Amino acid sequence: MRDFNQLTQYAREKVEATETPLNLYHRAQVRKNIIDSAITVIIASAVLALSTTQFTGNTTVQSPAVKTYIQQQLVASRTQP
Amino acid sequence: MAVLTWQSLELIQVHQNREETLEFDFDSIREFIFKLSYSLTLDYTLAEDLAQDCLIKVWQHQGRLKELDSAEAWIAKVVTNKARNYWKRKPKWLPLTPSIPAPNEQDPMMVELRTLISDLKPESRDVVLLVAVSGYTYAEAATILEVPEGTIASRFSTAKKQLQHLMGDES
Repeated sequence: MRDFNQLTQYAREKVEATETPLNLYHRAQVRKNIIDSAITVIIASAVLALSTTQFTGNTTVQSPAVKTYIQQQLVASRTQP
Repeated sequence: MAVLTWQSLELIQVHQNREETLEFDFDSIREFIFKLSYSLTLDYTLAEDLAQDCLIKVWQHQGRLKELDSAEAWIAKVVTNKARNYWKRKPKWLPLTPSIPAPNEQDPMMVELRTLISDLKPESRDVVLLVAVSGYTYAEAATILEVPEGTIASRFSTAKKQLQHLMGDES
């Protein structure tokens, strides 16, 4: 039966003796690029979805100020002779 | 953990003393991050994934490292925090038979220690791995985990007793 100190000492020596993977940095770079690409795609999709909603749908995304302005213009155009 | 000295991460110290833009030589800290990752997961495959995660984080925050008193402490903190999540995962590779080892890692003693340590509470596990496997002192572990040194000593003592009990070694 091994004891705690033996096991931890073994683990420590094993870690020290293990060589660091050479391609670790490269793989991290690839991973980072994938994450960056995914974020870019998500942002682009969100912008596209927002644009589509604004310009093609009945539902519009408008600030209260813009909405008020449009309503005023509509009323003004209807009241003109 | 003998890859870097505690007092300084020399490369970063050099850059800290210059006005030029910090240009990280990640290769020089790659080994430190990987070995700490291996110490904190006790699994080669998980350590590879964890080290990549940490390299990305260090990369993204490299500008901040210039402002730190101890870059190593910050990096160790990053690795330790991320390592906690890796204990919820199981190692990816399991041996098909005892005579055909899985890729990279299925050292029986590492598996035994990992199995024992997985029974500990996360806060106790961190302490055991940092002190007993990574080789940090209580004071260093206290800095990394941001708790008092006495708490580290207490957690280590309790965890050690618990592990010895599990191993049937009451000495």
